[in-house]
Amino acid sequence: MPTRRRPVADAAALLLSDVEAVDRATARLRVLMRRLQDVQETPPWFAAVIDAHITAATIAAADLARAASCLRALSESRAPDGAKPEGTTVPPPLEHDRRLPE
Amino acid sequence: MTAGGGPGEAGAAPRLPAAARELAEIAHTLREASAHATAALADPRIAAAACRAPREGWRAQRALARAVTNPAGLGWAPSGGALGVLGAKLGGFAGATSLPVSVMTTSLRLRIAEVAAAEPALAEDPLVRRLIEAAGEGRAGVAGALRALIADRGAAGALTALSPVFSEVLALHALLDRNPLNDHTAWLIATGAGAATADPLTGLSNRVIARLDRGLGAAVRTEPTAAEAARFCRDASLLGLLGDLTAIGPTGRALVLTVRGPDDVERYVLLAPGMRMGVPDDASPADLLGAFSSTVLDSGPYSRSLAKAIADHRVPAGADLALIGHSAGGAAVMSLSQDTALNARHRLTHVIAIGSPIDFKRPANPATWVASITNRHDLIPSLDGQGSGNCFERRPGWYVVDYTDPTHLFPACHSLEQYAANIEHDLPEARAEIEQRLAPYCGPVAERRLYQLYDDARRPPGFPFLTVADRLEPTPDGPVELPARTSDASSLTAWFTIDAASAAAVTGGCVPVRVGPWALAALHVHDHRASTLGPHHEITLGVLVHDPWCPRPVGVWWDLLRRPQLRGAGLRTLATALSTPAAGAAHRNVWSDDAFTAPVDVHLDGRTAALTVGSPDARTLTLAGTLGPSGPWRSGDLVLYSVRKGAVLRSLVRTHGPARLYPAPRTRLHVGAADNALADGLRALGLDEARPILCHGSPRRLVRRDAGALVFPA
Repeated sequence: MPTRRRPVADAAALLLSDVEAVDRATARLRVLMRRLQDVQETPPWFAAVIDAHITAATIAAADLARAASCLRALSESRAPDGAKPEGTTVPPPLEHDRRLPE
Repeated sequence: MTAGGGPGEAGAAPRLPAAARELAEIAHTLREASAHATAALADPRIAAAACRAPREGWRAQRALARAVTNPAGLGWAPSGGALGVLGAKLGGFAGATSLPVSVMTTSLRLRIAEVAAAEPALAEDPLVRRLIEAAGEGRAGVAGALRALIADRGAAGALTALSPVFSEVLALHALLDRNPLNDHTAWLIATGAGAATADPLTGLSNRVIARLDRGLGAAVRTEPTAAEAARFCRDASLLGLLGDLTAIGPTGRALVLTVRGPDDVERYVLLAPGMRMGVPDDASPADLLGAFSSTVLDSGPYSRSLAKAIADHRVPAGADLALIGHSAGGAAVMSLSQDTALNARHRLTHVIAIGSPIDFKRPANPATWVASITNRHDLIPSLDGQGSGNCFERRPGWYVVDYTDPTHLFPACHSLEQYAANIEHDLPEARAEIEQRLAPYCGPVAERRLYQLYDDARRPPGFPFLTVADRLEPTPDGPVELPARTSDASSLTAWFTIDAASAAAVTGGCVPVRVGPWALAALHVHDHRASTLGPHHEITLGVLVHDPWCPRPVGVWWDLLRRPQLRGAGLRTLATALSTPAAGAAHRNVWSDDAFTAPVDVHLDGRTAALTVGSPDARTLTLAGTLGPSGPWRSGDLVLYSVRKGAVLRSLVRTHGPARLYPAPRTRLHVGAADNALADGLRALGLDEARPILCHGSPRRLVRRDAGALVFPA
């Protein structure tokens, strides 16, 4: 039953692309904070708030990566009869092990 | 006075709007990720796979659940699909926050900060600052801060103070409050992805409300008042056209002008004013509901009625057309510009919207030049969700003037007069640019038509009774429209017994109907409130006479019951008093030599009658008193025999409407000392101080009377 496992693999792939998007968003937040830190009109609360967003976004990316990893493991798991799944979309391997920010 | 293409292009902090926009994009990205994780969590196929591999499945489900609920990460972020909607609403009730909403909140706060930087008065106002801070921090305090602001400034003052950041504050409040119904519209406002679909405070659907405004639209030609006509421009120009728009005002009307351009080509301009004050939903498409639907919907009764006005003006196919609208009129003309059928018929060259919420409307023809002029303190343009703090790209190619001036009290700053004054005196660059663009339309006004707009085509007054073939009868005093038609009248007929010999002396060749030694006279009163002869009163004195060719002392009663076209018996009129010269001239030229004009005062309310003819110093008659008990009665068509130019004419007065019979009236007729045909007739018949034997009347009836037919020489 190859098609049964495709949604799992597809979901894992989608979440991985989301991880990358959230990573890019985190990077944009960092750039934004740097860009506005010397602008006079920037509100005083801005830096602290963006810093909190960066931390939360990093954790969110790690959570999503972990979920993607688990879904990938699920899609690659053997059925109880031991048959290897066929026709699955194999998501690309994770680039690195994510660690939550301390 | 500052003006510019928006906060992103003007002001002291150009980086803040860009940052706000970027934050909105990041929030959207995070929300998408939340939606994907939620979808995976709710996917039954993944659940089925988890059943087949329980250990890996449990881990995957747990990781997904954590991804969309981890307070340190995405927060409470279920989104999209049934599970996402349910989860988001539960979270909304519980007051749980999510990272996408937090980032969007930061974006909105940054927009407010940017507007405050451009307008220091906003940040210096402690009450406004308190409200903005409360909104930015979410939850408690917003309602209290708003109440304090309203208590201190009043509703208008509070709106004025908040107006530059009104949309942002509403969106902030909607994102952070516990009402899950307004979250979607808050997101739309915050991302600039579309027009607000619901009220940001309550979450009540805008579209549901807007769809209450129904109708195909209709435009009926009407005439301006003399004062309005005096204010119309002779030569079209930007200020001249705005002057025309100001002259007609927000009255549910629209103007279509034919102008001869500098190249001697005729072009057309449609002018649409703003919302008509009054009942929220009446027959006008420019009422409150119409303004709402014009903002929210792509096509509504207002824009459709404007299309009908253009069609009625016979704008030739392929002709150049410019649309100018203020407030709801601006939204309506923008809706009209989206009409592909209109764009196929005409070349829609310009759309100018003044103080209008049009951010999410787009002309069907990309070549149409669009100008939007808004005062930053005017709330109306932000009703679609995008106000002064808008950090998103305006429509490419639009000419946007978003300005502020020191006198920015709302709603005064929304008035067309204020906008016109700002354009004339305070915005020279904008004025020059728009005038240059409108140059092909600058020239003498060849034709100007004013239209009253309606939600639906109007049912003709008195349809179908009064819908008959008509004609203009030439007379020495001007043409008279025949048959004369009255769509709203009240009437009373008072019957008197008179001496038969006296009656025979005044009826010429006609034979009075006798009841023993008596004959019957009628005083017929009509209050024509809406008539083709104009509003007027009509008083007719007549004597009931036999069929001129076949007097039958007994059969006459059967004759009187016959349909009027077959009836021979009728009233031989002796005199008719009319209250207006036009009606008097029409009667003299069409029906009766005995018609004359006199002051007439009629008051009929179904229970009492008060009638006076003549001036106080030359009174013809007075009839006053209660009408007594009554019962239903036939409407009663009349057959009249009148004398004109030496001939007896027979005419029918057709009537329709409820009527009542008053068998014991308590009125009395007093005849005055005036010297005219009516007073003479009353005196000749001995009716001074007479009481009617019965009356019948109608508080509301339709009346139709055609020209008389020659019966015999008088």
